[in-house]
Amino acid sequence: MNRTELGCTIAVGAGLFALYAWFVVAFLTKVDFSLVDGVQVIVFTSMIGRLLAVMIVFGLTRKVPNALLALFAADVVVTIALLGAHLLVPVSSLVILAQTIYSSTATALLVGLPGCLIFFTLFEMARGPRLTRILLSVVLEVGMLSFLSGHLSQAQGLVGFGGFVQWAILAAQGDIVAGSVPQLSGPFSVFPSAAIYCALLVYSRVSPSGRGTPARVVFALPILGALFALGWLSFTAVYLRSLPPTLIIRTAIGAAPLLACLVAIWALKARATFLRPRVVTRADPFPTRPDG
Amino acid sequence: MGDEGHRVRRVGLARGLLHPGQSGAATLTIRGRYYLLATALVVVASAVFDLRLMEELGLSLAAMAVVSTAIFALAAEKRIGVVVDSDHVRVFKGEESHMVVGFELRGGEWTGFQLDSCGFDNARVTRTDALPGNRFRLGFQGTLAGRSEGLRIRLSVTDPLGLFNVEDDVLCDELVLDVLPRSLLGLAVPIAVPTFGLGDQPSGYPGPGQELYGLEQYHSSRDAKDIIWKRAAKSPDEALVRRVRESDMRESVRVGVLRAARREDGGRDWNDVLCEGLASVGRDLLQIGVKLTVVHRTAETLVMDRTSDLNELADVVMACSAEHSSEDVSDLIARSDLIITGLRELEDERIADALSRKHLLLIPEGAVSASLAKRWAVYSGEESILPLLRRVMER
Repeated sequence: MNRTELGCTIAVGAGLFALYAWFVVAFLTKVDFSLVDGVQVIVFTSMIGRLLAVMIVFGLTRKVPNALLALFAADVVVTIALLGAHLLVPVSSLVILAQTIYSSTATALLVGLPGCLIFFTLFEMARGPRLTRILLSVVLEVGMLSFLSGHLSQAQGLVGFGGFVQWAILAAQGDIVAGSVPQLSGPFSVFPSAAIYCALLVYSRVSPSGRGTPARVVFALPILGALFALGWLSFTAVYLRSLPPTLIIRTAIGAAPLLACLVAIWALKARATFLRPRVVTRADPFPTRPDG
Repeated sequence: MGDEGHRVRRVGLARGLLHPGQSGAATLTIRGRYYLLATALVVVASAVFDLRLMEELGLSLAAMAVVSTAIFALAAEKRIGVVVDSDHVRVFKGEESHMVVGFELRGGEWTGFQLDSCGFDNARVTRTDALPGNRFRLGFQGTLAGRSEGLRIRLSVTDPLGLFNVEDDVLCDELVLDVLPRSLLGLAVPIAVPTFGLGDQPSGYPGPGQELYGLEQYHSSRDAKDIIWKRAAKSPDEALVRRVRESDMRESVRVGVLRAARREDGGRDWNDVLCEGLASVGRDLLQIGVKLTVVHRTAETLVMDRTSDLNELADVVMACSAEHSSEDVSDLIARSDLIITGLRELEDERIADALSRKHLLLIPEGAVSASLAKRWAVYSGEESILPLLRRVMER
């Protein structure tokens, strides 16, 4: 891991954890804790504790996802067992307990899991440039945290603790398709996003190990790419603002230049297909002696 | 390098020729596949969450890919040169050495070079270290004795982002690598009997007196009157030493190298043993003091190389190792006292008949137990060939 990769990893980590902190703060301030009972506290705190334990015990290994899945499966088994017991002994408290455990588990996962995923993403970045996995996970984490944080901050009143997951799903069903997703605002969200953007832009040009990255590429390519993207988004903001911001329109606006780029890439690639190396005839092959 | 005297002079910086191999088509690398997939997914995911900054990230990645591919397409039109820091390298078998190989391409500072593999026919590349400026330091170790003409290189040129690459096989044929046989290094086993003595004082034998004569170990089939008893008494192992008169000894020996059979894969292993055998014969004959002439055939004509020291012998051994087989062998056989050839050559009845009256050092194709007869010996690389040489030297 060279210094560029390390710097990108640190910047992405700082940005993601800043967004995560913003989300946690919004959760703590907007969720109604007045109706939280003892069972929910126990399940929530134990789940957070179990998540931390998984990260500590398994560390930065590939076993972490399996361990997280096992954690969630354990609570699901307990819930199903309670529901099964209710079939044998029809006591309503069993159903209530099962519902409480399940909803608390889901809420704890929604709150605690992003932290684990960020940790895992940073681990992947440190291991090497696996672009698809890293870029997609970072973008999804940013999207999820921004979405939940934006909704929580703009929510009217308080959100129930047990129904937090259901509330988030309902918000996503309506707002994403309609194009009314709350936008990030304020320095606490813009600066982390900008840091993540810049870090990923530089990180994406990191060549695989063994191939030398030309020094000019470090500066030139990200700047050119950023200028192109800025120009396109400015163009859409000025000339396409009359279009409704639905999911399909947003995707089309983003996909149109992407398709144009892919066509250009393939055309240029075909141009290079027929070219072959030839002989150089020079009087002095090496301008300078290799050994100095 | 075991002996600096055997090293061919370094000629500074030599230019290498680049022979393009099969068509170098640009292909999408694994990294390129992941890059483009990630770009598309980022654009879609950012559209779903309405994340402008992430959408800009996706479009920036796409634009970077376009620029990178454009640079690659433009750079691929230029000429690529392969240069090496020496055009003729000599190492002994088993010895490690290194050389610097560089690539030149106009606009090369924008593209990436990868040396996928490289190798010689008779040496193993032990390490490849990347140097600044699209240059690589190759560490190699001679494995088979003989001359190798050309460095085979498999290189790939990539765009700045490493999305596409063009792979090509090239042969830098101005580079010659001589791997010298270990037999040239010196005496592995000291010769038991001193070779020639000049003006020695034979004891108890009325005869030649001050003259050039040879000595060898006594065998029961020889005349006992030739035994030099005083010399035998001084010998630490009490070996009986016999005088050989000058008139019975050859002053010069012509060693022929005969190859007439076709061998798979160029017969590299066989050629290795041939070099060892020729070097061993030549070294022993030079140490005995015999004038050595190596008779071998090039593609054009029959060559008779006289050698007087190990440096010249090394040149001749390398020259013999690089030659092609020939069916016109009668002249070579007629001019040679000892012929080094392969067992496979004897499968040709015409050649076998011509060789029937010659002393032969036979190189087997594989692992064959060594054997020695009156006129021939099978040599697998380690046997002592002194008994055969004694018979060759006797008229």
